[in-house]
Amino acid sequence: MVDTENTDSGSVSEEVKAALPEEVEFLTDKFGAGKVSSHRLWRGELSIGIDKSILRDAVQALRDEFSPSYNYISYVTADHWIEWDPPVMDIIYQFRALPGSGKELRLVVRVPDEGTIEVDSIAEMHPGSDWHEREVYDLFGVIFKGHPDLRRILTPETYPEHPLRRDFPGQGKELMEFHDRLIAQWNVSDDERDYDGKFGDPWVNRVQQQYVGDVSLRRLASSLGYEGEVQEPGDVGYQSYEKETLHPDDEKKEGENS
Amino acid sequence: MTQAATGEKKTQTLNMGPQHPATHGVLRLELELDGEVITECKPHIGYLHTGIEKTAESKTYHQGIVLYDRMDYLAPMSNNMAYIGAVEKLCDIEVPEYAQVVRVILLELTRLKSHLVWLGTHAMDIGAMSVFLYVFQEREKILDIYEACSGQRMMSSYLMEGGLWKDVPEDFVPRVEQSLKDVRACLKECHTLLYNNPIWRRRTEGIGIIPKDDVLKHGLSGPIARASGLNWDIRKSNPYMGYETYDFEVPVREEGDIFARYDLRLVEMDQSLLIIRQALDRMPNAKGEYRGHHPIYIPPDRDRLNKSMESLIRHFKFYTSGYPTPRGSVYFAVEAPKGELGFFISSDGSEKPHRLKVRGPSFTNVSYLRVISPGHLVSDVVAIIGSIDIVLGEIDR
Repeated sequence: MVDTENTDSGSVSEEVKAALPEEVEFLTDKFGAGKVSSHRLWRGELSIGIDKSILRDAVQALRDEFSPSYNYISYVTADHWIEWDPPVMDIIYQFRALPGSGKELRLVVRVPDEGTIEVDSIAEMHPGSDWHEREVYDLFGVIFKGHPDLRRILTPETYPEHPLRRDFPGQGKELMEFHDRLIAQWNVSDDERDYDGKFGDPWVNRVQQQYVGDVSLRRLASSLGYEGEVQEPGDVGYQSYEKETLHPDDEKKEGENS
Repeated sequence: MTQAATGEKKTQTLNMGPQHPATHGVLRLELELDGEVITECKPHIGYLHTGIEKTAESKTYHQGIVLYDRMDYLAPMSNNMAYIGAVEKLCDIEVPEYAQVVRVILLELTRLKSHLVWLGTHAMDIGAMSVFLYVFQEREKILDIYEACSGQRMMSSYLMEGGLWKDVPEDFVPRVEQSLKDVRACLKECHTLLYNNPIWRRRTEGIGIIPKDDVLKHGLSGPIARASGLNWDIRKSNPYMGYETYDFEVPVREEGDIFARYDLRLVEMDQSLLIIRQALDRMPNAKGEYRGHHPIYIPPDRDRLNKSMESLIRHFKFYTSGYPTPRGSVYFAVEAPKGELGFFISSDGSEKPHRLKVRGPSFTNVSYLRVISPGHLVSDVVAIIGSIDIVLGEIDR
């Protein structure tokens, strides 16, 4: 199922080369082949990888000089390839040629993911990209040079993280810290946190499986003054069994014996 | 004394929202006022940010379906369609004709439903209370059809890879026909209430004018764009689900004011009724499978599970680990009731999207508030927000 024509890695098949899309030809003629790194025509969609230095000019040229004019921006977004070596950030711009032609074009600017990532802002040419660039800045930490008002948009202005980066955990970081603090408070090691009814801590084991329930139960436990050992089984209902019967095997054995 | 005469700042700042009935959710507008005239408007969003795009990266493609109903909760089927369309494009899945016809009916019902809520709330914002009550009656009947199909009133999740979750109920056609009649009658009623109403005309005509140039520059889409003279509908320009075979018109207005948007949406609803009528007529001929077949992307029929081991394995694999997808990225957009709603999916070949971006119409449309508001009265902003038709769930995601 993997498509072999993937130009993400830079290879362009002969068939595609034979019929170069006119957008690619236009950009190559104007800026030189070195600045247009790759293109891919897949599922009827054209995406062109361009160098970051020509971004603003390319967008302008596609709008003002190219026919049909790519005069409408649908969105700006980013794609963080942290799995690659070296990791990269793709900044993606989707254009439309309106009205009528139904043509769409995606420009991809690939920037190495090291230090501060900076690209030119196109918000003055296409004010429609203003908020989209703010969103990419907010969620990915990409700086758009020349943006009129680059502030966070979806998260609070004091928020320190860029949550859509791939190295940001899906659980969120604040909750993890809270989690770890409680674990430390209860003197439970990381090994014991895994599901292991026999040796682990019944509180931790049972609630570990449910992420949201985990936190609320822990809160409940700490509010009940729970200190790490079950003194009185059956106090909240989740623990209405003896510690020994936690292990599935043990439960089975008991059933066989009786 | 005027500001110019004294030279000092005479404006005041007003925070409108986030908890304000006219902001349709939790939108905060930071308004700079000179008397009652707005000099500057800064919209603040993000109060409903739930990280849907981040969540999507940890869900398989199939599990993701239920996430996106919740964005634009007034038009869940459009959200389903945009997402499923993107997945179908990514994996190259074919949809049987019957499923396409049913999808078109449901999509247009969604448009009706969304526009009905828009009409009711918009009219209520401006002061016409009774419209709200009439349109919600009709909306409820459409929701009943949803419930009969999918078991859920609003978060239907009815469209699945390669077709529908299951076939429509037996009384689907008569029910839709009945609702066509009801909606048509209701629209007529509302039209009588509003169209020649002098207060309504005074509050909407010539106010909140969006120039045609700004539509392209600011990326506006949907009825707002068409009310300003941009003849662009994705159902016509990039047809999906066989929209090119239906006979309907895309209404366009040149005025670009609130009244034009109101008028245009009413015509659009009329056209939706026409499309549904055509689709209903096609249903008996198209009758066939409601979901296609594919060894990877579509699970086997339920009744095969008891007979075939292979089917059982496929079923299990489909719902537990999901399906691998081709590497690459696609963008698929539909004409949602509010404008261009699209999903960009970047796949690294695994069962989960590497990156999923939702291009919601309301997000871009609401950003235009900062341009259009200055020079208007505070009460006009309420009317402008109503005419843009925003849903904050989709703006914040």
